[in-house]
Order: sequence, then C-alpha cells, then structure tokens
Amino acid sequence: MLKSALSILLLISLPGFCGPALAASTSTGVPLSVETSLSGQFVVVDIPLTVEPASSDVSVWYKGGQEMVSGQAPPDADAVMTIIRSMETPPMTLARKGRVVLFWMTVKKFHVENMPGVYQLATSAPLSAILESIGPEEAARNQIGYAALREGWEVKLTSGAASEDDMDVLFNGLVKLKDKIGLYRILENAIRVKPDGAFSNAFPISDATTVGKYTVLAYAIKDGTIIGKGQGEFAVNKIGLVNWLTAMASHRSGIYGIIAVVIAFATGIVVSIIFKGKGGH
Amino acid sequence: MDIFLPIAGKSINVFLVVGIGGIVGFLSGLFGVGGGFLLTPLLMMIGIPPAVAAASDSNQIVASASSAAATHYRMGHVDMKMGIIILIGGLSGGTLGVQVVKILREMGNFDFFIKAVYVVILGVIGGLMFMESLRSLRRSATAGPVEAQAPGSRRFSDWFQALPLQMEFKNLGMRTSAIFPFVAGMIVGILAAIMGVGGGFIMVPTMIYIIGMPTVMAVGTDLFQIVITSANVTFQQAMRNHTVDLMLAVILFCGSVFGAQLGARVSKKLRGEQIRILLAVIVLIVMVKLLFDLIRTPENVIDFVRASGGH
Repeated sequence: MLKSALSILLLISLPGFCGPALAASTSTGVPLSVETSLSGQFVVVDIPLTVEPASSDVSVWYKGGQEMVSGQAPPDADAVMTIIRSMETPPMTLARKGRVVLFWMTVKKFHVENMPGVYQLATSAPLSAILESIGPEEAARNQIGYAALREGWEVKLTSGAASEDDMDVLFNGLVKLKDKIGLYRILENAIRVKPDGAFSNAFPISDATTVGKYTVLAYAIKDGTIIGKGQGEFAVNKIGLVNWLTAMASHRSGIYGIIAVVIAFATGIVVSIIFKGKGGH
Repeated sequence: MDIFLPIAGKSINVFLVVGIGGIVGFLSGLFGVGGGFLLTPLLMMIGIPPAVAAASDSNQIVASASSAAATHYRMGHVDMKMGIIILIGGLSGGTLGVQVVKILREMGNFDFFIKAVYVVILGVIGGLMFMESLRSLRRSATAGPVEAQAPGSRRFSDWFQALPLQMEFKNLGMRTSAIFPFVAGMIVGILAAIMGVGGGFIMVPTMIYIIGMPTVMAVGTDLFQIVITSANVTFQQAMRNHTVDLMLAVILFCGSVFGAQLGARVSKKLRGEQIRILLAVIVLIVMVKLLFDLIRTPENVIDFVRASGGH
C-alpha cells in the first residue's frame, strides 16, 4: 500500500515549472515558499535539494554523465519523486508513416510544441500508485508523468488527412523516439529513502542531451497530497575543442568550411606521398 | 575509446568509425567511387543524424578521393581533359539538381522519392553491369586472357563521331566529341544532387559503357573529378547547413585514406571485368537493402522530420 509505504518521487524540470527559476546552478537546496495544501491538513515544506555536479561539461571524451540528486523529505512522507526537465521546449516536426500499396512512406506531418527536450522522472514507489493517490489534476499541474506532458502539448497537423488515432500514435511514438536516445525516462523505485527522510538518486545524462540549463524538482507525498517541494538546477556546457568547433561551425562557417576541405585534401595528398615513399607505384 | 562529435552531438567509438572509414576508403580506391552511397547509410545506422552524416561524408570523400586520385595520377590513370569536361558538366548539373530538389521538397514525400530513385537506378546499373561483367568473365575463362579494358559500345562511339566539338584524349587514346562527356557529367550531376551523393557509382559505369573508357582510366578520372565536387559540396554544406562535423570526418579519413591506398593498388592487380562484377554486387546489395527498408514495417511509425540535408 502506497500510504503505508515510504516512497519518494524525484522530478527534473523547467524553471518556472513549480516555482521561480534559479539564478545559478547550485548544489544547495532552494527555499520555496510555504503553502497550505488544498485539504488544509498539510503545509508544503521546503525540501533542501543538492544537485551534483552543478555543470556537466561536454569535452572531447564526453560520453554522457550522471546527475546525483539528494535531499531531505519529511520523515512521514509516503513517497518521493524527482524530475529533471529541460528549460527549452523546441518545436518539432514529426512525420507519421503509413503503408501505401507495398511501401511505407510519410502520410502526414505534425508540428509539435510545448514538449520538453528532456524529461526524466524518478520515484521511490510505483508511479501508477503515486498518480492514483494524487489524482490527475495534481499530476497535470505539476507535470508528473508522461500523461501530464500530453495535457500541455500543442499539435498541429500540417499535411495529410487527420485520423482518430493520430494523437495516441504520435505521442507514444514521440516518447519512444526520445526514450531510445535517453532523453525521456521513467525510473520507478529508483530513489532510496532513509527512515529520517533523506533521499537520493542518480539520473543518467545521455550524450544526446543538448547544451542548456535543466531544472530539478523534488516532491514528497503523503496521503495523496504533496507535502514537500524542492528545486535545483544544473547546466550542460560544451568546453574546449568541442566548444570551439561548434562555435566555428555556426558563427564562422565559411572559414570552418575552408579548414575542413584543406585538412581533408592535405591529409589525402600526404598519405599518398607517404605510400609512394614506402615503395608504392 | 569513445569521442564526442560536436556537430552530430553524439559520443561514438573511435575504432568503429575508423573501421567504417577504412572499408569505404578501400572500395573508393578500388572502384573510383566516392563511397557516399555506402557511407551515409552506415553512419546513419550508428546513430549519426542524416544531415550530419551526408555533409561529413562529403568532407571525408575529399580526403580519401584525393589520396586515391594522386596515386592513380602517378600510375597514369587520370585523363585530365576528360575529367575537367565531365567536372564542368557535373557542376552545372549539380546546380540544376539543387533546384529540382527544392521543387520536389515542396511537393512532399521527398525521402520516399529519393529512396525510390535510388532503388531503380542502383537496380538498373547493378543488374546491367553484373550481367555484362559475368559474360566477360566467362568469355575470358573459355577463351583465355582477353583485353581487360572497356567493353565500350560501338554503337555509342560511332554516334559520337558525328557530333561536333571533336577532341583528342591522348591518355585515353581516343577521339570523341566533348559534348557527350559534358552531358553525361550534367545528367549524373542532377541525379547526384537529387540523391544526395557524389554519383561516382553512376559516373564510372557511364564512362565505361557509354563513353567507352578503359575501366582503370574511368576509375582514376572519376576520382579526380570527385575531389573537386566533394570539396565544393563540403564547403556549401558548412556554409548553408552547418552540418559538417570535422571531428567525425577526421576520424573517418584516418581509416579511409589508408583504405583508399590499398584499394588503388588492388585495382591495378584485378582485371576490368573483375572490378566491375565486384562493384555490381555491392551496388545490388545496397539496392536490396534500400528496397527492404521501403517494404519492411517500421519499428516506430513516428519519426523526426530531417533538417534539409542533401546536396
């Protein structure tokens, strides 16, 4: 039973998602304003949150990383959740394929907005039990779970004929695409909670995660009500050669293009000469 | 050992990429093709975004093709005059082709169109070349060694004699009209732009079967013009789409330049029909794979729509 079990749910999300954006990525907890819950029975307490490292640096040897989230929930909480979510919600164009005679081809296209680039949710208990206990409205308000993300997304069919199952197929397909490259994840029962309420979990950061700032949110739940909230953030930055090449490719593309051609041409010729010197033709 | 590719935005195993580069470079040196028709799908298979795969592929082709072309040049396999005429045709065709691509994109379902064109062209070229080289191999097996050079069609060459702008191609030991190589280059340029590759796998059979060039001369001359066209495409991709991943290209050509050297040397040891039948088999394998992709039920019917790549 959820209400008798101690569990924790952690969420990483956009700033402004459940409170003001943080001025800097910090490893210390962020005080949130104290609220009275709808039932009046609980007061929402601050969960001091630590997010480490504050910056995930993408260098030449980067192959994805990990963000450790830890905090202190009220000891009597039933469950804890943490979420990481990107600050950006870049618009996307998605295609739906369909069979036309023998072949699979794009039959319609959609313009999708208001879906986070990254969304990972960790819990200390089964997510279905947590969602059942807090109810769909609270889940949607705090964007807990994929169904809540779907409440906020905006979709426009840009080509092809609409069909009844479009939204289901599109949403599930998008989640599957994001999951495959490690940007969307549900990590059930991934949070360890000690008897005193101290909790922690690690979020794997995929190498496909783009540069930017990410918000981390934590919720403590008791008897179907959110009794504690915490917020933190971290950043993903490109550094060194990776940063220089990215900047050159986007801001000095002419020079970058010439460098690319010259390096390639010179390498080809030099190797050809080396081989000739080694007894070739 | 993994390395992060800044433009592809992905971490990748260095040895895997060097290996892929080596195999494609070998084929490039052996057959005189850029290898784009093989490399781009291979890169996409290991998770490189299609637009970045196509653009970085062009960059690595500059390296492998110049390595192989320089070797072929020393071996006397490059006819500069023929190469330049084809090149001018190819560049004009490419410019025209980009406009065709724009129109097709606006009409929608461009990806399907590209793949369908690929399947038809690869099927026709691969099939014809396979049958022809098989006949040549059988003939040489029964009648002993025969000339290992071009099977160039008499009908075509007779017809070219009637065209104006006749030129002497000394390295090739032939005299033909400049109009034809120019037009052939232009048609390949248009197709190459539509299909997003260099077009060597179309150009080499065209040089052999239609212009009537010896196989090894077609390989060397095509490599020469590929160096110039792929350098142009790399620059355009860097300027317009910012999709050239220099890090990816450098790792690829660490493998491909050596593969290309090996390929150019092996090509010298093989007879023309042996090279042609190998190329035909590879072209047919790629065709079957593409056809299978069009028919197979996809794992996920939803996909991100690619940023405009192609060239």
